Amino acid sequence: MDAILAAGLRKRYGRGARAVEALRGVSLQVRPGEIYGLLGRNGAGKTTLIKILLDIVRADAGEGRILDQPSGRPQARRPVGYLPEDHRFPEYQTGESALRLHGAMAGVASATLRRRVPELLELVGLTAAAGRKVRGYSKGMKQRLGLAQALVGDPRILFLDEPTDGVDPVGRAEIRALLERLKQQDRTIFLNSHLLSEVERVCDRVGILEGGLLVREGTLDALTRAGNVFRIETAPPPTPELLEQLRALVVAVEAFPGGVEVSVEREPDVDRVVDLLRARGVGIRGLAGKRLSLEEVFLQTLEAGA
Amino acid sequence: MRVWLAVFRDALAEAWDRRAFQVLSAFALLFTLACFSIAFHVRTAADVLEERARELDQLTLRMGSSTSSSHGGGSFELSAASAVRAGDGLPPELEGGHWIEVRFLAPADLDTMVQSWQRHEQQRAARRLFVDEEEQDPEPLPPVGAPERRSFLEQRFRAFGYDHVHVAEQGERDGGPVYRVAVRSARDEEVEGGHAVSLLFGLWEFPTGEFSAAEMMVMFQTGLANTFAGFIGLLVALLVSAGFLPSLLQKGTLDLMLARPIGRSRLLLYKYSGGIGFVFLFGLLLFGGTWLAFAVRTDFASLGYLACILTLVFGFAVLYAVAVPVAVLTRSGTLSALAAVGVWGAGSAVATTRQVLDMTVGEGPSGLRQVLDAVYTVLPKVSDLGDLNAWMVSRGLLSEQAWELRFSHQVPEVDWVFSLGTTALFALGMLGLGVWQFRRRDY
Ligand SMILES: Nc1ncnc2c1ncn2[C@@H]1O[C@H](COP(=O)(O)OP(=O)(O)OP(=O)(O)O)[C@@H](O)[C@H]1O
Ligand SMILES: [Mg+2]
Repeated sequence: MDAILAAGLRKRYGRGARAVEALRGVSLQVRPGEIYGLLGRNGAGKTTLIKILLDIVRADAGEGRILDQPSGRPQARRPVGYLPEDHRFPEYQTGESALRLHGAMAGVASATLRRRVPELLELVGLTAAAGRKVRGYSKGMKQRLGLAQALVGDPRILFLDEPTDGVDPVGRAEIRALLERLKQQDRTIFLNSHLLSEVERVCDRVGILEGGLLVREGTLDALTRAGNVFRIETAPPPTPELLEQLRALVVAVEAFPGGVEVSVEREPDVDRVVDLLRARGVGIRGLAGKRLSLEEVFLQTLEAGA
Repeated sequence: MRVWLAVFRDALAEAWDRRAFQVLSAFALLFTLACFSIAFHVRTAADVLEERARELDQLTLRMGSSTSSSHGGGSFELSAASAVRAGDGLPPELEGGHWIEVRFLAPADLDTMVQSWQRHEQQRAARRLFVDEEEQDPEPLPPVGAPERRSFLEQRFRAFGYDHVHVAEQGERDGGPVYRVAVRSARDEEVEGGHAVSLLFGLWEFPTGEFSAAEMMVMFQTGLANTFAGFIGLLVALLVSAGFLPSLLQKGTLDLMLARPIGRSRLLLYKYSGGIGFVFLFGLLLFGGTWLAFAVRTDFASLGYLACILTLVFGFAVLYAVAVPVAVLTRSGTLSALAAVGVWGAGSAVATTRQVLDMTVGEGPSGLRQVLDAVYTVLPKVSDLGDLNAWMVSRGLLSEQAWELRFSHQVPEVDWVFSLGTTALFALGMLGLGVWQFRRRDY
């Protein structure tokens, strides 16, 4: 059973000439315990996708399911915590009263809530501000409260729409650590973020949404692998003559201080490179498939689509 | 239930934050204190009888909030009032009462008064405050004989609030008929002018005049229920709570709530009922406080007054329901409040127009009347709730006789099933509209 399922979701906002097609048939699955990162430029439809899964926005076609429950049912949201982008707590609420309200709405028992609310406030670093009205909170404090709010129901599934928006670097590192901890507790996390370095660090799988379509999807490992390019660290570095000999074996060779980078036609070809180096008395100190950064993957994908 | 309580608590926190809770509580406290300053003191029975008897020719017709007084014509003079003694030959139920002698200057004086009284009674029965010139003497009055004269005096003194009235003809003196009227009241609080009322802890004290203490109390309580709670309180409560819904519907706030495992209809209705709970609390404070103050200081403690909490809450629930679809469609607290107050005003205006037509020209032009009736049927009849309050308060405070004799005609006859039924239907329609719109939107 998928934790989250989207099947052929379409959504058009408005009518006539000014209609905006936000989703044009998006399908994806997130397995339980997985952290899924959804990337895409502004207006790509990321938020719309989450809102449809939570029945805040109604799809024109397709269906969403959460733990196999159709997302139109309130019941489907029972295991869910959601941190909306640009959320706003009413100004009269305090950190504590907001958490108590949302806890009760999530169906948490009062006794549990009495214990959990201070714990969560501690977790997001709002203990000192717990009794203060939200109108006196800074942007980052509101974001931290939003995160606590998402966690108050002890959800199996978390939808986080730009969780680190407005949070300082220290807080961002804390949130990242929190996400990793949540993952260890086997929770499913659906993350929308523009901070690719962050997504890279925590996500198992990534999807790229462009113009309302899911144009690329895969595990982080599969996406960032850069074809058959390998980096070989050697000691000592290969001599120019040796480089010439290597060139005959592979598609391309490039030296860097402390080694060579080779492009091969087929993966086993790299073994022949290693054999040659060893035969010439060059020591191998490291060998790895070359990785692209997620940012490179993202930009390449968008360029390819354009 | 837990979710409802959480939403209700949130509504109270919001009301507190807007200072609405404090203002309304202070308002309730102030009135409780004011009511606590009211007390009644019994006056000497002989004084009261003399004073009332002097009003024999004053015919006052009270109809709802309007009063018309007429002079019954005829001249008379009075003896001093005396206590009834065992040897006076009066029926035993008059023991402990007082008597007074009335001498009319001429027989015609008495007969004029009898006929004025009869006309007055006719008018009262027809529930008409003003009589059309052409309609004067719609049916000729029967000739005045000895039984009518006795009956007039008896009814007139009963109307002053005495339970037991005994009229004895004493023949004629100096060409004028003389009657001895003996009276006794089982309930002092229902005798006109029987008490002096003291306000502001005795700072201001005056006789209750043409009202009995119980009627005075009815006036205090209906005044509080209709003017302070039912008008000012309701208005303030509407203005304050009209903002509750838009604050939920704000972009960014609603996302947080909609992601919770609760259906949209329930969410909206919970928020709506949170406002109602807030007003119920206010009603409890205001009516409970003033009721207690009255009970402690005056012995008047009827449940009819407490029941006015329910009409307040009902009236609020109806008008607040108007705010629901407006809030869903516009997310504006100002527009929601305006709509609620506007519907209230329109309903009252239509109802008043119909009443004025009824009291003056009768049916009125038929085309206009039909439109008026149709609009009246649809709109909520919140102003009828004032009559319901008056009815509950007066039934609670007055004895059956006093109610029949002095009060029943003051409360307009209302078809309650129709009035409350159509009002509730209107509210349900508005709520339905709001819920329907709320369910079908993207946020
Ligand atoms: N309520 C709405 N009414 C009309 N159009 C909308 C609405 N919400 C979103 N859109 C449009 O739908 C498209 C997708 O919006 P969405 O918010 O899903 O993008 P996003 O990927 O979350 O963008 P961002 O990275 O800026 O948050 C945009 O073109 C946006 O203008
Ligand atoms: Mg977004």
